[in-house]
Amino acid sequence: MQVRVRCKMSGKITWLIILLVGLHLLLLLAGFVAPYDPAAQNRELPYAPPTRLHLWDSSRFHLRPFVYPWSPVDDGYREDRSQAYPVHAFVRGDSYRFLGLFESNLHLFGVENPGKCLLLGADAFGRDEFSRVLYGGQISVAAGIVATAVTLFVGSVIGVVAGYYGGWIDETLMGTTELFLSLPWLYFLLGVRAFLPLHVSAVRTFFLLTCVIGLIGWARPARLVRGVVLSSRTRNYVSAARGFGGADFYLLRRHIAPETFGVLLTQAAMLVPRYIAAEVALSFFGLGVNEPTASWGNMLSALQQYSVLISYGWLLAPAAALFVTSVIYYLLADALHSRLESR
Amino acid sequence: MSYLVRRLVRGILLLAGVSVLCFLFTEMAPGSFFDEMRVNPQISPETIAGLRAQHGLDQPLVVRYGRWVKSALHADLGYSIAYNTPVAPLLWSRAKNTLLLTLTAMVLTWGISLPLGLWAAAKRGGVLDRAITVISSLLIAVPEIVIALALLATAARWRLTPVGGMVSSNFEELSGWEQFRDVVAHLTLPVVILVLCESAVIVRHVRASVLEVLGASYVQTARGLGISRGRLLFRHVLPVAANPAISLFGFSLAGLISGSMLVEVICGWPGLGPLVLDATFSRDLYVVIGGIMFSALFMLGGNMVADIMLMVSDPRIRTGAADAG
Amino acid sequence: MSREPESQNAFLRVSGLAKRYVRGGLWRERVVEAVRGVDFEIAAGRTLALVGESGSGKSTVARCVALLEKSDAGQIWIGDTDIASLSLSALLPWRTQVQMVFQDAVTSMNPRFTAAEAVEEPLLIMGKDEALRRETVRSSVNEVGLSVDGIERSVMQFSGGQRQRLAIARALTVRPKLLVLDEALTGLDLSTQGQIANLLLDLQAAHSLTYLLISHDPAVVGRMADVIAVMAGGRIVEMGSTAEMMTAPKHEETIRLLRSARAAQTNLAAITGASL
Repeated sequence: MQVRVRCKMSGKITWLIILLVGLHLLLLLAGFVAPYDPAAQNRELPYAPPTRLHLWDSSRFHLRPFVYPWSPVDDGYREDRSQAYPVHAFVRGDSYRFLGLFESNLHLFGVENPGKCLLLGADAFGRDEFSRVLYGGQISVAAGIVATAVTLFVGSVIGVVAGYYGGWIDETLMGTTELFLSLPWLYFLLGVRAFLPLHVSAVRTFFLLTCVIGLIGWARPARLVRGVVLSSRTRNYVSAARGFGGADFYLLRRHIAPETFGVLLTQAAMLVPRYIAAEVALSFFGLGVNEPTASWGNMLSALQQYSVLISYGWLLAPAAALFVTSVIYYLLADALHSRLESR
Repeated sequence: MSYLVRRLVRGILLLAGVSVLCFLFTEMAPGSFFDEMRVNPQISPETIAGLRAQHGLDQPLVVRYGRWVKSALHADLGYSIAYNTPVAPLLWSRAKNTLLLTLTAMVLTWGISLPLGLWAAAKRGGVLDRAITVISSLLIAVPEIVIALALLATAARWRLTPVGGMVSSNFEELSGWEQFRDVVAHLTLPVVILVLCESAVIVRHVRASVLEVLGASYVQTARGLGISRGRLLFRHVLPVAANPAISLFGFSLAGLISGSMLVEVICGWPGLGPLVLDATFSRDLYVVIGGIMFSALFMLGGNMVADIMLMVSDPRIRTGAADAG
Repeated sequence: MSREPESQNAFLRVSGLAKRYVRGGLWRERVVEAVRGVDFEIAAGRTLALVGESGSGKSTVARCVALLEKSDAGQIWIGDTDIASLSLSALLPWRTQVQMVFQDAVTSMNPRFTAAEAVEEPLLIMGKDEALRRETVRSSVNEVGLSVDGIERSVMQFSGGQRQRLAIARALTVRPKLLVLDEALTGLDLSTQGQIANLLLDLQAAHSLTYLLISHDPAVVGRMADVIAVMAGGRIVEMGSTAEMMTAPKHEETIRLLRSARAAQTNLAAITGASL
């Protein structure tokens, strides 16, 4: 089938999509953008605050920003002004796998050893928070996207079947959606998680988690898709196509499925941030992706100690990242929704 | 009346459905409470097998479910392995705290959102309306966990409210009035978080439904007849706009209960949430199932209240006209 | 198998057609008898009009004849075959014989499609190859008086009358013998109505098409039909030649429906300058 993009993209949607693509690229290229390995510890720098970027030293202005290393004192850290480390672009550092394909050690920026450039400070093990936010974002955002894909797949299959075939199939399926909609999802999520093994590899946890999150949320998209299918099923052009001898599969593929795309797209934009937040919540509780793999949720769980929360505010960085991601997705969902409504 | 009975039957069916789902999931669960024990070399496999048999975990799914239903009918909801007591009393002691938190939050949420939504709709396009729209969008967009952590950090940093737990350590020494104040002080932060998260959605819906009614032709007619603005809003618009708001009430409960779990864990409020979380870690299956059942029960209770209010406010449901067609 | 068709020159013969709908869910069921025992026949190359108020069952008859719905009882003969008794797969070849043109051309074509896509759809479903499809689409579009230049535009860009022409072109692609025109002229303005009516009459003459015309508009019926059947309550209450029905209606339903016929007919004739 020939695919044409006939819709005129409004400027707002275009900009939001560009922003989103940028954000995801940033996370995708975490290995390159992040100056350090997310698991590399600096035992002498626990809870080091964000490194300050300087342009002025005692005598003059430098075009290239530089940093001073932290040196521990009694009540925290103090900048050691005796040596300065200029920040360079494209430096060699910790090795990583570029896009999971090949080994590389080139980083977007960095300073020479033993200097440290901790843009967002360090956690209890002296690991670079900035690098961990990027790597953790890979896990959390990927979890959101995969779970959304699972939800939308299950939801649209069930919605299409219920809406298209109607009758008792519809009643049974919609009864089940009501069941799922009336569940307090976080309790249920926790419950389902409780029945899964606690200690498994990060990869398995990731897929178990995304499937669980995704499988719990199918009810709403299923309802929406069913509504669209129900209304488009009775359209005259569907009757006409059936009159020409079009089989169910043809009608679904050519007439009914395209109708649901708008709804599914809007739902996707709404669900991804929600599911990222679900992953974050579960990992925050300690039920998600485990250390040492970074995820926004398990990074934030350090803040369950109030002393950490009060003293080391930069450890809220993953929450800020989640905030930005959610707001962009929300604005996109909102824009998509109003365009869908106005049609 | 038959409407209410039907809703009640439906609610009971839903509860049954939830419990069946829970048991189906336990069947898929590869581990159990005793698996964590198995790692311990001091406990023999025979002991574990004995314990399993004692708790009926070696029985097939149907038998276990049957036993559980029997126990549920005795208001026990099964037996907690970790706490060595029936589940329901254990849950109820915590559920009271959850109810205190959620009910307070709910009353405040509606007390704030209804007038705000009405006001925003009445002064559509005004400064307040725009401010409400922007702020509610922001609150809807930002995940609860971010709002909760940010407020917690703020409150803890500047010592605005006591943080953690439900009472101070010297609670027992306080007088009755001071005890009340102490609980209120501890309640403030979690309630504020919940109200912020939940009211945004409700303000928007109230605003939208009031605007819809304001646009209806009979309201336009009334306006044309020169009816006063206040009278128009309270006599004509509000009663009609109330219906979608009441339906929303049932749905908002789901968000509130899920939200309260998160807030309870983050703020250390001793409600159902932390209990279920601990049970999840120790694989105390029946406590987890009981927690889910309790939360589902709360929701259904709230939905029943919404149904009754709808029936009172909407004559179509009373006469059964809404079911036809 | 039931009796053989009586008259040999009848293209379509419907006898004892009945259709009922079951509404409602598990709790309550409501049976609506939409059509209860309808008999009529249409001679090849002629037009029979089914008239009646909305809810009289005429559209249900149309949908059954156009094979969009399965009837509950009765036979629909085309030649020697009772197509109402055929299985869904056995029906497939018959779908090329009978085509339906819907009331609302706006809704009878997917708004996402271009005109060409909409018109070629029956051929696509039948699995015809692209060259043949393109050729047939061009000839059909020409036949209904549209230019082939604009057929890559979205159907949304066509006017109501043009879309009705596209709908007719779509029906013509499979070379049908019988067209079911379900209120096909309703909702168009008078002059467009006249043009489409003329087009349909021209096509009928050119391809010796048989029409089953569903309408509640006496003007259209008077202009196009050879035989008029009046439906009420799921039955045919009166049937006769157009002249007969227009001049000496007997049943009160007929009188009510055709009351304004003559005035409207003169209107239509005046607008189109009809010669037939």
